[in-house]
Amino acid sequence: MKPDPNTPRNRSLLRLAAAMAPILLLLILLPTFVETYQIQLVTYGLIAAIAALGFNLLLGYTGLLSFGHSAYFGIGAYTVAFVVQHLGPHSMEFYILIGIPVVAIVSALFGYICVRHTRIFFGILTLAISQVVYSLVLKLYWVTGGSDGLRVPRPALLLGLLNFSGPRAFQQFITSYYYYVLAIFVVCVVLMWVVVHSPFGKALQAIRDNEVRARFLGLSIRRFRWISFLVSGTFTGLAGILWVPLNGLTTPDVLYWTFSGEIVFSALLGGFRNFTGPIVGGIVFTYLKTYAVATTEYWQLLLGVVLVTLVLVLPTGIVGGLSMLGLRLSKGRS
Amino acid sequence: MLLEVKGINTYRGPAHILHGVSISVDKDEVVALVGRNGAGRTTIIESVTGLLPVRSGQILFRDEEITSLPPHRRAKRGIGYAPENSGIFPELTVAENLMISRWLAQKTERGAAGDGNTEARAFTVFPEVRQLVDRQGQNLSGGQKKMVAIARAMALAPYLLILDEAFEGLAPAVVKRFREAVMTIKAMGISLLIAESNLVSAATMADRLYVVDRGEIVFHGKPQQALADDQVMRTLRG
Repeated sequence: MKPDPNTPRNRSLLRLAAAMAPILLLLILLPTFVETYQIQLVTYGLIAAIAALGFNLLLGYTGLLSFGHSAYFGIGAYTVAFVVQHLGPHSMEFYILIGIPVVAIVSALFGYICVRHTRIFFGILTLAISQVVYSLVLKLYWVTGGSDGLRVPRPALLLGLLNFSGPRAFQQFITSYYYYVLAIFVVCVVLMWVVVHSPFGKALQAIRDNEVRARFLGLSIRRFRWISFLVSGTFTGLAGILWVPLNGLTTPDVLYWTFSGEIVFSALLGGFRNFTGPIVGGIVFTYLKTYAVATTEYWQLLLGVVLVTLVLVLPTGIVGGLSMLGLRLSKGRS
Repeated sequence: MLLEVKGINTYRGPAHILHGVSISVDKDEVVALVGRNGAGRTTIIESVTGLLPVRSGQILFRDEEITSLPPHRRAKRGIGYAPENSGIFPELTVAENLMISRWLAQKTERGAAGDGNTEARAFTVFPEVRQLVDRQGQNLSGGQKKMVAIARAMALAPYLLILDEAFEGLAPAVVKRFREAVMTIKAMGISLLIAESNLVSAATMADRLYVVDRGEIVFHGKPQQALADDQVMRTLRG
């Protein structure tokens, strides 16, 4: 049977594909007309977008605000660092193969504890757990390197097909790694789209809207929230796995609560009540922070002003604001 | 017997609302719970669906004890519920509201047994819902919300459908449409437990009815007996 293009799900998929195609083409061509530093920045942006996309399954679709997603990002990054130190081979696929199950298990465990509560209690619990992980990583310096962190050298890509050595190794790595991250980013976007448009995703939104109603429909609230937490943590952990070879070093800073705040900021910046908001937010936040840090030593103040302005002027984020503007313009024309 | 509620006592906070309430619903039967506002009808329904815990007494569904089961387990056993406020998820479309039930129906006893034919049944009761599938829950009228709520509960392939004040606030023509729907649902082999404040309206649909007053069952019998009973009429008038 041929799929019906008129069903809401297929219409939404077509819209996503139509919106993504030109952006994807632009991203594919990007390394041909920008310098290495910009490619590196966009790669950081795509990684931040994966983290925010995962985070938003919990905030935007399940209605749970986590202040502890730095834990999953950091655990992803530290898992890669431990693999580099104690195991081999230095292959990105090997890091992902080991890293994802570790992050998923940790997310499942922490999620099991956290989803027993909602609202502020959930937020505080996620924050507390992430700070416990941060403290452990900071204090167990003989394992984690303490505040110095752990170094992660450039790995081989595509099962060793791409190795990086020689005078232009850095530039080659950045360009290859950009395409590597871009491919994983596309897979993550499609996977998340499937999740949020599936009956499971709709059930999460039903729970977000009204827990009591969802319960008498037959939804086991805690189980659904737990699965959402698990998926969310795993996506954010994958972002940590991808981030650390690019950064070359992981330190306890990525586990600190302020890093969780940056993930929340990204989702708010793009707009957490729509699918593409956190993606846009992740990329924009990366640029915003990079240029704010480069411009002034009071960069945190600058980001604070942006956050306050955002909440007051654009509560639905960049994407939400643009959608509303588009809607008004189309109404005005008709 | 499909549903048997035996001497339940239910509290809302410190307030003792239900005092030893016993009711039953048989297969292919429409039973009405009639009473004034605050009499305890919704509390009985919330006790049956598991939204309110009972302190003592027993609830049996298809000869199995469900007294301590959480609401989602009761729904999976075949208890469908369309609440007074419709309970439609406002940000989801009608299609998405139905999609959740259709998906969950595969996990209900009746749906898993292949006895569901879920969404088709829902559309048989209210064909109007087909025209609304793309609309968000928040953009429906009161009557449309109630239709979708019943269709959604039907899509879960229940053995028992509980309707709380399904006809309240509807125009007389729409009420007639809902009464027809109740008869169609009954003809599909689904029993109904209906909470209603209007005895005359309940009498047109119910095979049996219970009159509730101050958390107690004060009358149980055929609708015609209730209509002829002065004590019942006085209780309902207040």
